Amino acid sequence: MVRADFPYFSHHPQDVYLDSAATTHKPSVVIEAVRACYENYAPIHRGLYRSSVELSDQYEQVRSTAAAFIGAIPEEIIFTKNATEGLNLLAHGLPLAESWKEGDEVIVSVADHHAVILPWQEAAKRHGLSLRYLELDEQGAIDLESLSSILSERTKAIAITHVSNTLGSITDLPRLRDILTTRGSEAIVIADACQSVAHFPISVGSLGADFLVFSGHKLYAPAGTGVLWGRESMLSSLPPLLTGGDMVVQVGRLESAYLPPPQRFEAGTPATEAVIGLGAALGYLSQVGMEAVRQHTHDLALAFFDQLRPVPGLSILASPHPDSGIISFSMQGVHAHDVAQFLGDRRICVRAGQQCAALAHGAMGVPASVRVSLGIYSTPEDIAPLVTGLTDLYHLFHG
Amino acid sequence: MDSLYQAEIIDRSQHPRFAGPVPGATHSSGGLNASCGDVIRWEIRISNGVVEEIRHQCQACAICTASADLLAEALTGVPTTALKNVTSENVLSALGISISPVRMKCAMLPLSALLNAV
Repeated sequence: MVRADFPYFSHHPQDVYLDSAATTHKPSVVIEAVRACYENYAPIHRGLYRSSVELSDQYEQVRSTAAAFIGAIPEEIIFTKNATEGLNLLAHGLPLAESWKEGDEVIVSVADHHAVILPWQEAAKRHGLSLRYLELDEQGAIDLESLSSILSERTKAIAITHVSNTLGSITDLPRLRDILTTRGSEAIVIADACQSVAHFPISVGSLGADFLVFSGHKLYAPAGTGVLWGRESMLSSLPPLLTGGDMVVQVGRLESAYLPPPQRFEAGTPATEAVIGLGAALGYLSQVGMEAVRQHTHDLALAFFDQLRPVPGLSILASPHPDSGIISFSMQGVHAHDVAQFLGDRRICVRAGQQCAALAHGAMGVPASVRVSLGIYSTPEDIAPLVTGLTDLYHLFHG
Repeated sequence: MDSLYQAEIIDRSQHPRFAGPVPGATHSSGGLNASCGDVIRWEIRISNGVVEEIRHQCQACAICTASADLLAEALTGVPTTALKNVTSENVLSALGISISPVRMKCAMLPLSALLNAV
């Protein structure tokens, strides 16, 4: 689609890169934006001189760009270092509200990334909360229809993956919201959008979530950036995870007053250059067009499905949605790590293991899997080496 | 660089000689590599200071399984003092292949689990 925009492929022309769900490569515009930032670097928000003012303006412009990218307003965009930080911020702060009591419940799903589940496990221990799980349906997607059976008047939050990083299933968040509305539940919905925001258009206005997080490095932006979006009304009462400089109105000996969101949640000097790079990445994606990205991923994923299915011994895990660009599989009699190592030795880059989703693998009854994941630079030419490699591997192990 | 998967390694992983439970085991232990899902269980029968029988039950990659099987073969019939003194160098020597840093945890899971047993 746009492979020439990514210098990685000129440096590594032999690589078949199929690990974009782990991290994406960066287009030249992002690399250039980071370089330009360093060449004009200054501390932001506090310097009373031109370079500081200009970089501060650029930084805040990225907030507007990020807001526009997901249909939000800038005041609702909090820069984090990654999605994990955003998820921890919420699991730390939400239960501190007076309305949360010991014995309240939080729902997660077995398909969730560890970054969704673990912060709530810790919060459950700290606050005496009860953690409940949505299971998988017969297709291996999160079974939203079972939500009613575990939802209660004590359910305070539902933290859930939008696109499973392992199963490639898409969670119907508007449907989830409908179920909550029908049941009269005011549970807060937190969406992990790491694997969705890079693949298809998202508008928080119609998504049904109250909070949403994603990481920059999975979105063609530098590592060290992430976004936490929250409804303005909810952010205003949320306490910060980190406290320190650049987020206070007044500091006393015993008490201090904090700035309103989003600054309240951005204590300390940020990774300014990475945020500038994030802005460039979002601008780049907007230029390509997220609907075009979705179509590219969809068409290519279908081609991968067609050519992977006949590979001997290969079983595709669950029923991945082609828009996700994620296909996990196992090979009969060959451990996932051996598959990935064999392919890696041929410069075919895939992921193997539990992909930070141990519970999803347990629910699917497999110890580990191999994941192929697509990016906007993936092409149909990536398929043949993968299929040949997997076929050769099968014959190596099975004679 | 398919040399990691030499015939010996694949054969050991597909047809391990020392897999299964040990009747009358006096020692046992388990090991888990959480990031990749590899699981191993050791069962050992020690009598009069000698390893009479040692077997593994692996749900793991070829490197890990081959490592366990070669370890079991090397340790069958040896004094327990020798068992306690097995090193990672011994394991790598038995495997006879070059292990990358990423796969080192696969190769060493059997050894770390074994040392927990004794």
